[in-house]
Amino acid sequence: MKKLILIFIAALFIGCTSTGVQVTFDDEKSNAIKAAYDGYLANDYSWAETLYSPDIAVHINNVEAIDLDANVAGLASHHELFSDISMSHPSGGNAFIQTTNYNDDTGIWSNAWFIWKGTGKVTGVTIEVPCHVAYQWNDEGQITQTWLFSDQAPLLAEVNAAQAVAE
Amino acid sequence: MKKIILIFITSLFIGCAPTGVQVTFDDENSNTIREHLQHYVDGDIDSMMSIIADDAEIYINSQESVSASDVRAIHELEHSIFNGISTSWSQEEGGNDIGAWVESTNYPAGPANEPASVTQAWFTWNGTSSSTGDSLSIPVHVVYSWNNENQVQTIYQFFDSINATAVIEASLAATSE
Repeated sequence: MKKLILIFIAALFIGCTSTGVQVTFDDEKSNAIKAAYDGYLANDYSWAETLYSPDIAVHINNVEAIDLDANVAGLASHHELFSDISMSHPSGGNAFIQTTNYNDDTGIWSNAWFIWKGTGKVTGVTIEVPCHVAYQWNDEGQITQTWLFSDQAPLLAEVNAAQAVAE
Repeated sequence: MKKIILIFITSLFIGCAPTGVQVTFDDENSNTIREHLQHYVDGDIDSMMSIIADDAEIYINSQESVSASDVRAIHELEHSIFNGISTSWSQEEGGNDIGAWVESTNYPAGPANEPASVTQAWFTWNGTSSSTGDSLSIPVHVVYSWNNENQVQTIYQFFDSINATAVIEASLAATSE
C-alpha cells in the first residue's frame, strides 16, 4: 500500500508537467492584464503603479527600454490622436491572453495578441494594427518588463497628420 | 484496490495539464523552426522556404495575407540590401545569446477553437545596409501554425517596419545613384 501511494504521488508530479511548463488563461495574472486593457481603453492608468514594478523596462518595438511614466504618456497620447479605440481578437471577442509559468529561471510571462483599432481624429482614417505584447512577472506579482511587437507605421501617419495641422 | 487504481488514473489525467496545453522546446517542430531561422540568416532562402506550404497564408503586420512567393522575394531583397544579418536573444542583457527563443505549443480543441499546433519565436533581427552602413536591430515575434503534413500553413509576423522601410528606401536610392 505504501508503495502504491508513493507511485501515486510520483506519477502526479511526473505526469503534471512533462516540461515543467504550465499555461493558464483565466488566471490572476492574465485577468490583471485584461483589467489594465479595460483601463487603457477608458484612458485610465490608475492600474499602472500597482501592476508595473517601479523599475519596469518597457520595450516599444525597440531593444532600448522606456520607463513607466513614458509608457503611460505614450498610451495616453493614443487617446489624443484616435477615437473609438478597441483591442480585439481577430475572430471576435477580447484580446487573447495567456500566462506561461516556465518553472525555471525564465520565470512567468503573460502573452497577449490582439488587433488594435482606432480612428484618427485628424485624418478620419481607421487603422487596425496586429499587436503582440509579452509581460514578465517578478516574485512580488508585478510586471518587470514588457515587449511590444507591432508596426507603428499606421500610427506614425496619424502623428504626422496631427503635427501638420498643429503647425 | 480498484478504487485506488481508478483514482490513480483519474489524477494522472487531471494533474497532467489543467488547461490541456503542452509547451515543448526540444521537439521536432521547434528544432525545424530553429533550422528555418538559421537558413534565413545564412541566406539559404530555398531551404528556409522548404517547410512553408505552397498555399500558406502569411500575415506580416496585417490582417491581409501575402503568399509564400511574396515572402521569398522579401527575404531575397533583405539579403541583397543587408550584410551581417543575424538574430539574437538572451535571457538577460549581456547574457548567453541563443539566437532566438523558440517554443512549440499544442492547444487542445475548445468550445470555440479547433486543436492547434503552433511554434513561436522571439528574437531581435540585426543587419547592416551594405550601401549606407546603417545598422538595424528590430525586435520580432513570429507565430508558425502547422498543418497535418508537418508544413507551416500560416505565419503571423509582428515587428515595427518604420526603421526598416527607411533604411531599405535609402539603400535602394543609394544603389540607384
